Amino acid sequence: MTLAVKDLAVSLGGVSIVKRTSLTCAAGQFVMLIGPNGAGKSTLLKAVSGLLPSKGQVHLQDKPLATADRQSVIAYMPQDIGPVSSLTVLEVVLLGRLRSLGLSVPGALAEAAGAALDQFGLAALQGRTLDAISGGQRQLVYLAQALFRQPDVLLLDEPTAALDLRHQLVVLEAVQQHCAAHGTIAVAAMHDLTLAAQFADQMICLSEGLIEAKGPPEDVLTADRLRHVYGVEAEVAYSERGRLNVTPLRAG
Amino acid sequence: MALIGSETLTYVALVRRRSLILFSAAIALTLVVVIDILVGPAFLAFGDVVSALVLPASQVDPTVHVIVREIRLPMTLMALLVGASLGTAGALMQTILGNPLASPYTLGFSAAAGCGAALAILTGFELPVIPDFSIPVAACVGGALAACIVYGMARMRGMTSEVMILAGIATLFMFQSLQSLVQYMAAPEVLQEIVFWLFGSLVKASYLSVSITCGILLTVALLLIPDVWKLTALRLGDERAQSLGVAVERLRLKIFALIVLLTAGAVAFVGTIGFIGLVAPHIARMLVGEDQRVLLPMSAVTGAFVMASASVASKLISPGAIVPIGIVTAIIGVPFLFLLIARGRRRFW
Repeated sequence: MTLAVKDLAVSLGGVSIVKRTSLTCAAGQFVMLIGPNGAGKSTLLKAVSGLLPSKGQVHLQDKPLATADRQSVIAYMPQDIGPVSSLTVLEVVLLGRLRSLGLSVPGALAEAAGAALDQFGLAALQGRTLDAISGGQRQLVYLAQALFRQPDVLLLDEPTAALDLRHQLVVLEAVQQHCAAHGTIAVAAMHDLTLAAQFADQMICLSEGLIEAKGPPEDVLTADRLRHVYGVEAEVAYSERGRLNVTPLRAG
Repeated sequence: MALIGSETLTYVALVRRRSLILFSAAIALTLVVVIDILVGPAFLAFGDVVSALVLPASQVDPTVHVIVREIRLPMTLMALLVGASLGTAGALMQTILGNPLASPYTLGFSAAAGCGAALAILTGFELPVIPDFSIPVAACVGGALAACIVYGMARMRGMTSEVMILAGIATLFMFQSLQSLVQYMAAPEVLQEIVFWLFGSLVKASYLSVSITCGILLTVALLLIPDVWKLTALRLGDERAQSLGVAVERLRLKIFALIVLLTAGAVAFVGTIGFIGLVAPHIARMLVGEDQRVLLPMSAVTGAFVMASASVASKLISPGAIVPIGIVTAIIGVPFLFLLIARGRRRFW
């Protein structure tokens, strides 16, 4: 399975946000989308998921996906944690399979939703309401919902933004494992470049609505590119374990 | 009163608990309904009322029969149906607009219906074939006009909840002003009739109006069944609901039309009842949460309970008379809501 985005362009209020962007992601790949604020990362993800009108085409396995059909195969997780609600954690996860839900919820479906929560250690909170858990826990619940949908493509907008160090790893490892196990394609917009580099099969750097670079993290994350795209001096180094570290440097 | 969302509850236990709460509310409603039929300005004995309800007309005192079967029973049924309709309409409106202050009243539908009725009374408007329905039809037209204005405004800006609320509040003020203008222009005896209609009263309830309101409520309930989970998804925000496959704009339009139907069916025959649509959903939400499969019936039962309780109170406040029910609904419902707020520990609306 391959996700191919061809000449995608998005304009909002007459301003061009994403400009004729093309990219390809292979089955099971975890793709990290990086770039400064305002580069168009969230807009690109929303347009691919069909939430924003766009020009260009999105193909899955060489078949074009109409905007209206994308929600059935693409799960998109926004970066905000949503409005305050008294829906329970399990109900939120169940909503991931909206089309399977009727006036009664089959026991097996509720159990599967509980299992989706369990992978993030949240099974005990299934009866709690969204307003009674932390922002980070809410983020995990939404990720559990997205995985519960069993989509072909998973689009995550800053999935680790509200999470502590341990849960950042828990989330990205869960996504990586899910991709490996089910052949799902995951694309995540990220700001933590060091963390993104650890999990990326492919990295795409976006700047002013255009793809500046794409490829393996070590090719994309260079000091020159970071200076050009982010406007900062950064040290790009490899740790003793061979991991790529990006450290922004203060002026002077 | 932490009735939902306990950490230790499994989902199955939670569903059972909510069902039990809904069942208990239905029992409480049944009790109030019985009391409402028993109470009235005629001070009938308990046995006489029961006889009139269960025995054929030929075996009951004709006066008692008329009072119970032709006056009290339609009034009680109408109270139930109007409360249920407004409770459901309020819950739907708060859900699709994501706003706790939304209700058919606060968004101007009721004011517009009242304005339509007031205009019909002022002008002596009469329908050719069904003159008894002149005022209800005028009220429905007023309510539908308000809905069209709100929808038209929202349509221009992408059906967002913010635009709908703003347009609704503007519509409320506009029709309230028009209502005042009609009242200012009316002769004293006409003014009295307008004011009485605007108070909201069950005394004109008949089996025909009960049947119409009941038909609308049942139709809307059936039309809502396929959308209950989509409405639940809407509580996660438009973007998340859309990403889950909900056609948010289309759903909002459909539900908006159903709200207009429910509100028109309720206020056309009894006049302006402002409080139920706002507060019944809040009470229901505190008791059973936001799963619309339970919230909507619970809002209907809560609305009916408050309305039936208000009906009882309206007969007891001034012995021998019936105070217009619109005056007492808030007096009955607000203390109950305050009690739940004071005993609850939830932060959501």
